[in-house]
Amino acid sequence: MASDSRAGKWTGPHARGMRLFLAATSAAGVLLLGSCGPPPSFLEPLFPDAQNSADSGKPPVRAPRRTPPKKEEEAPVAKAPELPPRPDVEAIYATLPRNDDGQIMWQKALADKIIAPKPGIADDAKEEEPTDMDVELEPKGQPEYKVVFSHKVHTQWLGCDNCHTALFEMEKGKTVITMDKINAGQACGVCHGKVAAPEPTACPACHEAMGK
Amino acid sequence: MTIARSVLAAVALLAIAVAHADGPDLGDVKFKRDGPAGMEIPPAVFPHSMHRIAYKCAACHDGLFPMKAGSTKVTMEAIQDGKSCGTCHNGRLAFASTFATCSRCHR
Repeated sequence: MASDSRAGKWTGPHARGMRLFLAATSAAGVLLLGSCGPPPSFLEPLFPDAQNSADSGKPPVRAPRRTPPKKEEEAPVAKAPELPPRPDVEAIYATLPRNDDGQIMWQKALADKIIAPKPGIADDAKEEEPTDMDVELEPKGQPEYKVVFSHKVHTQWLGCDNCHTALFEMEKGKTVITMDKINAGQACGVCHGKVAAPEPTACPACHEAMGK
Repeated sequence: MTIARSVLAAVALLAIAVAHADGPDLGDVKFKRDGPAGMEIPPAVFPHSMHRIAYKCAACHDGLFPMKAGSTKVTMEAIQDGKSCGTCHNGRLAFASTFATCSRCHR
């Protein structure tokens, strides 16, 4: 019933299983040895990648058992569109030209390129060509009060629809302009006196003849 | 007496000149407050001058704001929503409306 180990022979009902187990462990041992160090010369055909490290004195170099996973290409990060440089308004403010009354002369600032105001809030706001058209306004019999209204100067700041036709009719002379209206904040006075100062100063800014 | 008077007049003139130079610019719009009573935060002031350095009139008028002062109601909620002043004052085009920047408008 029991195995006769002293005889060096496996017998009994489990002998076949024991023999298989022995064979399997031996084979596993050989493989393990082969993978840990240089394989014995008679096993070389089984390990074609292995080099005899005893010759070079370097550890054996083997091909990686598994190929490393391919790096996924990084998706490009969406960049915010670059903004045009912001003007340093405080610094520019200190250099703005002013008239005798201490008010800013915007037209001069623009002409002297001290400022470069943008035409719109959008980054790609388009500059519109100024309208080059002078309109002579002369009260009857009073040439000294003649005013030359420059569309060019005004359209550097404003669009047509800022004034036409809520403030001024397109047709020349249709909208009656008086100093009383202007002083009351109507007609030219919607801006002039509130947000736009006379340039260079006072009456001759508009009534040129009064400055002569 | 006449010398004293002229000196006084000169000083007064100088004072006026200085006041003009440092004084508010044309177009500084002080808002009327419609907020909760007892608030100590001063009303906002809109300086046209600072804005004209960077933008033409037509950039805001009349698309964002009609010209007539007081005709547009400006609320902090609208600004936070990116409307009204918040169209630019969002931290991207101009300084944002935060607790660190209150006094730049409310002054």
